[in-house]
Amino acid sequence: MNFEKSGSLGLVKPHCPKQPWVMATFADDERLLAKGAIPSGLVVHLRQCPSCRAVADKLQRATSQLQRLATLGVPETLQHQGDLRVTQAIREGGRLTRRYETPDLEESACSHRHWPLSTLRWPLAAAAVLMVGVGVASWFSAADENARPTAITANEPVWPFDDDVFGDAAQTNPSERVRTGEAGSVDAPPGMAGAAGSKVVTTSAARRHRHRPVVWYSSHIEAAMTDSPGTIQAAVVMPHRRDTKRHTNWRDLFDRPGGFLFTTSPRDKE
Amino acid sequence: MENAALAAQTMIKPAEGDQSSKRHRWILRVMETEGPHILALLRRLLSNEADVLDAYQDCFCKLATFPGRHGISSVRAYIYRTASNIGIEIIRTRARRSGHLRKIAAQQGNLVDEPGPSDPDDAELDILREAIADLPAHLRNVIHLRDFCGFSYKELAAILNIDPATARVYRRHAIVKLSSVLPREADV
Repeated sequence: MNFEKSGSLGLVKPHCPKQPWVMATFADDERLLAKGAIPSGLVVHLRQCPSCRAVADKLQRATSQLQRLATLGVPETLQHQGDLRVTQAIREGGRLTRRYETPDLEESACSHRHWPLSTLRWPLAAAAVLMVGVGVASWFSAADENARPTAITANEPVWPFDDDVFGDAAQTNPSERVRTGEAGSVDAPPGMAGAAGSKVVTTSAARRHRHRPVVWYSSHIEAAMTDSPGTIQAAVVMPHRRDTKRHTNWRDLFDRPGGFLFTTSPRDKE
Repeated sequence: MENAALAAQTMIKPAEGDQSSKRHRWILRVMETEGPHILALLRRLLSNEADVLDAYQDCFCKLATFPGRHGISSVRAYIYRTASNIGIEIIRTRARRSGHLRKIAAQQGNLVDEPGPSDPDDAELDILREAIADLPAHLRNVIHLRDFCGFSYKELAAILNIDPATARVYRRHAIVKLSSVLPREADV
């Protein structure tokens, strides 16, 4: 059976501008019940408009036939016979006497029916969450590793190098007096004396990237020195290069593991 | 009639210690609450009492044999949709059979008598039933639950898991579609 289709809703395209009103009134049982009767304006319009009258007739006919179907009663015997057959069939194990090919809708009535992976749904979801968590954790740890200042270790000849700007190969590495990975204070090497108050020696990620020590001049560091006069004259930090760019508060950087400060004696300062 | 009622009551109430009855007690409860509505739906959908009884039995047997009751999100939705589907399938089978018989009759020169309703009113209702069966599923479900089961829009919206206003609009569309399909009074 083919329906006449036109318009976006597949409904009959109205010829009269008041046809939607007619349709809404005659097809909606709630509206008719609520208002009790057809609105008088519509009655007047139906007298004048034959196309709307035809539509109203068709709708009333469909509605009345539906009502006729709906008034078909269920005999009591039918109810009892049905109950008897069902209970007997269920007691016999629920075997069907006839099997219909029910098309579609029961599938949507029950959610996860016939889905073979339904039992694995929660484990799969947990595994997915775990994998995402591990990925995020590894990303954070890698980022943290990059950001963490590399500590100078005693057995690595990181600073000072032979051709360093403060170069004196005979000087001992000041970091040997600081435990790896911790901030601390040591005496400044003699080569640092001239830089007091104005320069900061920074080596960037020397161990991992084999970068040369770099002399940095930073007003931030200078400000930090000014805040603590007589104590901090120069700083050697070992951040990653990106880290030095990112950090604006150099005091924080010093406090981090791997960065350490030099203190100089008044003699050096002079 | 009283004997039948008594028999039904005793069959519905499970005997003490009957394990299968205990297992299926929930189905019997569903049958007690929803059974009359489903039977009314099937009666109005199929009209033929034998078909109604078959469909009713199949409906609950499907529920009873369903593997895993907990897989059903809504027993009410399931049972009504199953009943509706079985009814629609019977109507379609009837239509196929009658079309087949008509073809045979045309080929063999009316040797086969097609059994059909003699009353024109029944013929009209059969046309309406087929038209309802051919409606889109979302419109058909609303017609079944509203007009055949007699539910309010709120109740049927809860069963179909839609908004009551949406159900009302669906019914309006269904009526308009049915009105375009049904023959005019002059044609009958």
